[in-house]
Amino acid sequence: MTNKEATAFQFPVYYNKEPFFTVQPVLDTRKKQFQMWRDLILQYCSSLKIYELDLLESIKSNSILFFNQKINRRLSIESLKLIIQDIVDNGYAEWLDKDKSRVLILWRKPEEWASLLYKWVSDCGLANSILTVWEIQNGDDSKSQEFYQLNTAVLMKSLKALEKQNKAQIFSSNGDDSNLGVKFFSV
Amino acid sequence: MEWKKIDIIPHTTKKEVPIILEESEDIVYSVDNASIYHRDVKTEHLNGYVLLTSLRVVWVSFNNSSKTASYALSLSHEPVIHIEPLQTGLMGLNSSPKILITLGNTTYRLSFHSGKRDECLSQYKLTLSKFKDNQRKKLASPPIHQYQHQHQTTDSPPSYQYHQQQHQPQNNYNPYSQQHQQYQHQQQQQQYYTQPQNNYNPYSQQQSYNNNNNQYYQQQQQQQQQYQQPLPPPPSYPGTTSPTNKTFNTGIYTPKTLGSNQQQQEGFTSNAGIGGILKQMNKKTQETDKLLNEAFTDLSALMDKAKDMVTLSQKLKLTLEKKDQEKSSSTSEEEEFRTFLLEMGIESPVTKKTAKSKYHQELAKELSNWIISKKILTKQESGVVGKVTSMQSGMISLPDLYCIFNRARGIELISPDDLYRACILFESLDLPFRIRKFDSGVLIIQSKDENDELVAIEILEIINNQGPISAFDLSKLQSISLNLAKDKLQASEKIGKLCRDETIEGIIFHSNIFV
Repeated sequence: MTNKEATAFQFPVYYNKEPFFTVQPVLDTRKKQFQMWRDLILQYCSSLKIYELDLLESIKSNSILFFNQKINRRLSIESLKLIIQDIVDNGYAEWLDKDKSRVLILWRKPEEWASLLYKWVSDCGLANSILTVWEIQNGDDSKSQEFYQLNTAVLMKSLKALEKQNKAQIFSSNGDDSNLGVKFFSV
Repeated sequence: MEWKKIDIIPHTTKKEVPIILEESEDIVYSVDNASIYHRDVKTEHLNGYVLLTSLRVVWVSFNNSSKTASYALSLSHEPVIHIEPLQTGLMGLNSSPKILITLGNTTYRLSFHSGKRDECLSQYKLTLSKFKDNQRKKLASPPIHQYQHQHQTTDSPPSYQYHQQQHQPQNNYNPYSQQHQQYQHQQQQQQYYTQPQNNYNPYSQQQSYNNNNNQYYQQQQQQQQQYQQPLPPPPSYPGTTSPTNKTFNTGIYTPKTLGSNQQQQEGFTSNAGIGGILKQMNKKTQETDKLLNEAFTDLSALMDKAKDMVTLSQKLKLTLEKKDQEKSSSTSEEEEFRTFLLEMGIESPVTKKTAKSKYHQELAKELSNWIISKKILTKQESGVVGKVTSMQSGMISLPDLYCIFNRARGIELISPDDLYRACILFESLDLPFRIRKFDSGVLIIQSKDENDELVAIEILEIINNQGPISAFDLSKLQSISLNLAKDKLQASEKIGKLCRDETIEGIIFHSNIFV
């Protein structure tokens, strides 16, 4: 991700307000502030198809998301951690390591992806047939879909959510994770 | 004039005694080239020859051309009260040393143009004290005794010894007196020496004139003179009568000790040495004491007048107000003057004495009335936003209030604790003010109707006009303390009216963008 790519993204007005980059000490205000940050980050990631964030790296590389050059305000790493933690608490992200330095951004929750997937399977009449994970991510049929080139980890979470709903069954042909298959059931 | 002209023996030179001496009068000391001053004015009696005798001081004028005595003046010891050394002129320069002779009604000075003032002075003093002693004795003892006294002396050794015997017991306490006497005797010896050379003895002559009834005594005297003639020359004389080491001491020691002794007697003080330093320090302390006393006298006078001043300021205020009613506009000068008056006083402040146990209640009431009448709270808003001023919003920190309240009281100051206690009572006394503690611990007084909403509205208005502000900006704008400004901002932030932008330059408050 480069800042050039990000120029296409339309930042909200509050992105240009200085206090936005300071974690507010008053709880009510902070709640609203974090909500605004969540919206911004998810929208941003969604529009640029970003699934993983390395917090330190983002700060260091002066990612436009956390550094507004125009008003010369940047988010500190501590503030960013607080904000990401808030997103994680709301279920829209997951920590990828114990140090909380990398995060999986779920701009759609796995359940949401799952319903999208199932809808697509039903629409295409692929129920009761077997699809590989690679086919879902890169197949010709899914090219127009939102989940095209979906992050594997996110996809697996979504499929597992479908499994829970008894709408799909994941199995591996060789017993490893490299070649996974999914069978969708029609309900 | 106490100096009396006396007869002289004509054609006598300086080497002879030019006057007729009285009975029992000895010449003690003589010095040339001395002038008489009356008070501090030079008389026509200049550059004469001074003879100090046991009864008087004789000043003899010598004719310049013939070198013989022309006239003589005499000053008896009797009216002399006091003598002292005198230095005139700058540091005693350009002026001959003088002796100040104090009489009952006037003073004279003897100016010594060729020195020897100190010797003469010491001799004069000694002679004077002897003279006074003798006088006292005369008064105390009947004439017969005096005769016996004289008679006794006829049997006694030469007169100088008699002299010594008479005075030794009295003067024993003074180690120098003996030396004086020795010196004196030396002088006498000198005279005895000179007399025969001149073939003239005024002493015996005088006796033959005045003392015919005492032939025996006179004979004795003459015998004594003859007896003394073969004696060794004067300089060695003291040596023969006193231990050798004492003689040695005498030569060096006498002038010095005479000097210091004299100074003590005269009450002259020296600024040298530790004693001098101590003295100076004492003097300084005394001066400081005096100064402090004076200063505090002024202060208490000011306190006495404080009440009057307050009354005066009230009067002036009334006059100004009347004037204002007459013509609506007032100049800035008048405005300034009024604010100055406003800062002055409370006419009869509540004190512990007047209010006793209800002190704090009374103080709270007084404080409340004062805040209202002087518009203390609203004054804080001066010069900010016109609309807000009318809202009676405003707060003042307790320390600030303490300062201006005490200043208004002028005297009868209160303690911070008293103020705090009084402020706590506002609510229970149903007064229109409340004390409030900010999270930072700052205590403030604000109107009872005042709340954070109003404060926030006020601040928001400023922000809308001027953009985001820091606590420093606010303190400047509302002329309030920095702490108070900070607390105001934080209170408004707390109710969600403001939000902050924290940078390395500090915290800047914005209207809440998150709402």
